[in-house]
Amino acid sequence: MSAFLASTVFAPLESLLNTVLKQDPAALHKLQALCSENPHPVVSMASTSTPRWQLFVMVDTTQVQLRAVYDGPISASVSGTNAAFSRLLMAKDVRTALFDKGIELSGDTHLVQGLYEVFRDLNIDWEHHFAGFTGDVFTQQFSNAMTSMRNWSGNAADSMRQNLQEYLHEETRILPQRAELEEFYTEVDELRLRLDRLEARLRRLSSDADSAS
Amino acid sequence: MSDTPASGARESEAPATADQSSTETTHFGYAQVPVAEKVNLVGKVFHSVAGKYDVMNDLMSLGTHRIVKRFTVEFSGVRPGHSVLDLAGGTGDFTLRFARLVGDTGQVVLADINDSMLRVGRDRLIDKGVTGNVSVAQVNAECLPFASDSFDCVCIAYGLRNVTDKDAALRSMFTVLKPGGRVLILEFSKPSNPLIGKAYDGYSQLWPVMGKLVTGDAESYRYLVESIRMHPDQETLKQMMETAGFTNCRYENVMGGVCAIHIGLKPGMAA
Repeated sequence: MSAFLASTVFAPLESLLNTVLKQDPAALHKLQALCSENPHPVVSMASTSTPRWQLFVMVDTTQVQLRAVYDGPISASVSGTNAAFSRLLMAKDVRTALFDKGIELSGDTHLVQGLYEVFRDLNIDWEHHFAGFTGDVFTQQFSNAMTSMRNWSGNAADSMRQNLQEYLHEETRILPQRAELEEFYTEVDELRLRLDRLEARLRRLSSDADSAS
Repeated sequence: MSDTPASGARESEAPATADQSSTETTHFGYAQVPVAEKVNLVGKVFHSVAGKYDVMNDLMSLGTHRIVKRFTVEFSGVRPGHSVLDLAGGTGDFTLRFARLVGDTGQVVLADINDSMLRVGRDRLIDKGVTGNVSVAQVNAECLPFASDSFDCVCIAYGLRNVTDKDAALRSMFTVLKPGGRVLILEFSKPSNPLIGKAYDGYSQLWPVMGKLVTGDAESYRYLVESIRMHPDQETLKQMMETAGFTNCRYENVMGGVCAIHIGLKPGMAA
């Protein structure tokens, strides 16, 4: 991806991130803490798979800047495939997400983890901002309706996932159970070990035969 | 129409050619005018369009000038505490961005030869709450009134093409830059792809019409189109920068070469 195209993509993203950051004082607090530990925090992120891109995240106490071009000193760098970066975005566990197999991390890892946590934990008080336009009563009712809808859709999605799982595993038997899979993998591992041992023994016997002759 | 700046330029062509031996001429768009006259003619163009300058930029570039300017700033390497000269800064687009980057400990000078443009720029900056780290100066780019080795970065965007003596302006920029400092020149250039070139030529013919509709002044935008054609191409400008003393000169084409960002360094160790 050309630097100009990347910059074009990053511009609205930066604007969105900074708007959201302004609405979350706790996140700004964390940014300030990161800046107090590192005076010029800059993180380079680069994709190693197509489409290739490079992003520089420059942090200060009130905002972040996303750049496609930067030639100054870097505090940390994160590189990986696009698939690994997508997993990073979707990951639920912040502590292990950065240690994905496809992600390579170097430099100030504490800064990267801190920055990642800032964006993962963004928590905006939408109700407060919404109330400014619509009033408290309507906002309360709207918020309750939204919460109910979110709970219902969460429950529905869970229930659908369980039903589908049960159908595929138990009724149609298209997919094996996790326990069966694990047993199969154990057997494969055992077989590989036996093969390795057999190969080693054959190699030893062959070298013994060579030395005897 | 006769009182518009560009048509005035064409009228002034006559004395220039009549007394060629005593008066050197330079181009003003496609016209040749006395060297001393160009600065006034360019001044009139910008006096005429200052009020609607930003609206016209958005219209003519279809909004892309904002992305191009943002991209240009990425090459500046400007950090908190730096001092920056935004030359031909006009309505302060770049000053706004640099003021954010240099922070409270840095300094940005918004400089332009045209007081109408500066007034619009200064008012706009105040309206946006950008004060404290920004000062405003009316200057001629050919003889900058700043101490030598003053700025970490000098940026001139869509301004060099209007300067009468570009080599003198480049030398002046070189002088005021600190050793290790960086010059950024954003300017219209020559499209590298002939197809893009044709499309761009066709589209730019509409600018005087847009100018007439929005600002009531088609001639100023005719001058814009002509001055773009007369501006040196990427390689020539790079060569001119090297002649002025800059090192590590390079350029980055934007939108297939419709614009180009030239970057150069003043040799020496950064402080």
